[in-house]
Amino acid sequence: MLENKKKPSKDITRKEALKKMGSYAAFAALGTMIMLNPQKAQAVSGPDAPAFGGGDGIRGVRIDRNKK
Amino acid sequence: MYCFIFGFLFLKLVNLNIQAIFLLKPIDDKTVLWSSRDNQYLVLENTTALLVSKLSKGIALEDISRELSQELSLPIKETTDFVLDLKKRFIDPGPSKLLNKPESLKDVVVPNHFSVEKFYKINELVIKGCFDSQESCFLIHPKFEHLEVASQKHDFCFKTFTQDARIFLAVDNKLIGSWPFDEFHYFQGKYSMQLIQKIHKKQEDKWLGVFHASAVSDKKRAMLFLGDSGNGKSTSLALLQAHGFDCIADDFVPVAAQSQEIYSFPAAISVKKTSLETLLPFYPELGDSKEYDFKVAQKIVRYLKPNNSDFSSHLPCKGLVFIKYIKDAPLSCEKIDKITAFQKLVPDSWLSPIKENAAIFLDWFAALDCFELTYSNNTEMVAQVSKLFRDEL
Repeated sequence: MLENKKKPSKDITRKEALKKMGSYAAFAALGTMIMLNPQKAQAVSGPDAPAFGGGDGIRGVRIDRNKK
Repeated sequence: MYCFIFGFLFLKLVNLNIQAIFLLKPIDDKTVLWSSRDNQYLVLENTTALLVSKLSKGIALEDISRELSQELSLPIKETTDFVLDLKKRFIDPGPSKLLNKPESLKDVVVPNHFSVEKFYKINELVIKGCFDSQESCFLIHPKFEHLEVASQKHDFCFKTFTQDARIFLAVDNKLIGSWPFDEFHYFQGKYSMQLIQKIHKKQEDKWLGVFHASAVSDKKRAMLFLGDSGNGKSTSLALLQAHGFDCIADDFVPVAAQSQEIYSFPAAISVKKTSLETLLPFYPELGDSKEYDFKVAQKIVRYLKPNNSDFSSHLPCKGLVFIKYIKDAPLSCEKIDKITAFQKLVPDSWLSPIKENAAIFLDWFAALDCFELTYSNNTEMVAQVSKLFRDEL
C-alpha cells in the first residue's frame, strides 16, 4: 500500500516574494555602470575652428577685410 | 626549446603590459573607478566597485560569488555569472585601444621656408609662429593677434605646415605631431598645450587636465564655467570681465597637477555675431574689430582681448558652474550632485592618463562645489556669479 506523501509546496508567501524581488532589484542595480571617456588629446572647441576642405587645401575661412 | 621559453616569456610580458591599474574614489553615493587601460572613468555602485577591487587583488572568483550570493540571498549561479562578467570586463579585457602604434614622423622634413611669420609676446616670452600659408596661419593667429609684436629675438619657434592633407606642428624644429585636416581642433589643442608648457614651464605630465570651459577670477580664486556650445560661456566671461572679474582663460583651461590651480591661457575671447549686440555697450572696440567667417561651421566671430595681462597667473578653483542660457528663463542657481557634474565634465575634457594625475584629479573633483546656473538676463547672471564668489548662494 502506497503511502500518501505530502509534496513540498512551491508557493511562497507575499513577504518572501517581496524580499526576493528586493534582492533581484539590488542585484540588477549592481550591473548599472556609466562609462566616461575623456578626450583622447587636447582639443579646442567652439567657433574658432575653421572648416577644412577636402583634398589638399584649407578652405572655409574668410576675413572681412573692410574691418580694421 | 629556447624558442618556446622565449615565446612564453614574451606573451607573459605582453600580458603584464595590458594589466589595468585601478583607482577607486567614493563620490556622493557611488564609486568612481579609473582604469589605466584606455584612461577610462566608470561610475559604479559601491558594491560593484568593491567586487572589482577584490578581483584585481586576485581573490578567487568563487569566493567573491559565494559571498555575494549569501549577502543578496540569490542563487550562486547568478552571482557567479555576474562576477565572471566583471572579471571579463575589467581584469581580462582585450587589447587596449591606447596601445596604438605611435605616429611615425621620422620621414617628415620640417620646411625651411615659411610664407607667414608672426611674433607673439606673452609676458617676457617671445614666440615666433611660422606658417606655410595664410590658411594655416588662420588656424592660430586670430586668437593671439592681440599679443603680436614686431619681429625680434625669440625664445621658441612654432612651425605649422601642411603635407599630404595633414597639418604638422614642429617646435624648435622638433616634430610634435600631425593631424588630418578634419582633426584640426586637435592640432589647435596641441599648439595650445605646447604654448602653456612654454609659458608656465611645465611639461605635459605636470598637467592634471585641460577643460573646455571659461575661467574667471575675483583675483583670489577662479571658477570654471562649462556648458555646451551656445550656452553663453564666452559671452558671460566677457560680461564678467566687464564687471570687475578677471579673465583667466577662454575655451582652453589648464589645471596643474601639483597645485591643482587653474592657469592662465592668453588666447582672446571669441565673440559670436549673435552676442555682439549684448557686448558692444561694454566693448565698443568690438564694432571695429576683424570679423572671421568660419563658413562650414556657419559661425562668424570676432576676438576680444582678455583684460588679464599677467599670463603667468594661477589660482585655486572655487567651483564648477554649468551655465545654461535659455531665452526668457528665470534665473536659477543651485548646487548639483557631483555624479551629474562628473558625467558632464569628463567626456568634454582632456584628462592626464598618468595614474598619479588621475588620482589627484579625482580628489580635486570630489572636493569641488558644482552649480547649475540658468539665466536669460545678463545683469542677474553677473549678480549671481558675484554671490557665488562671496559664498552667498
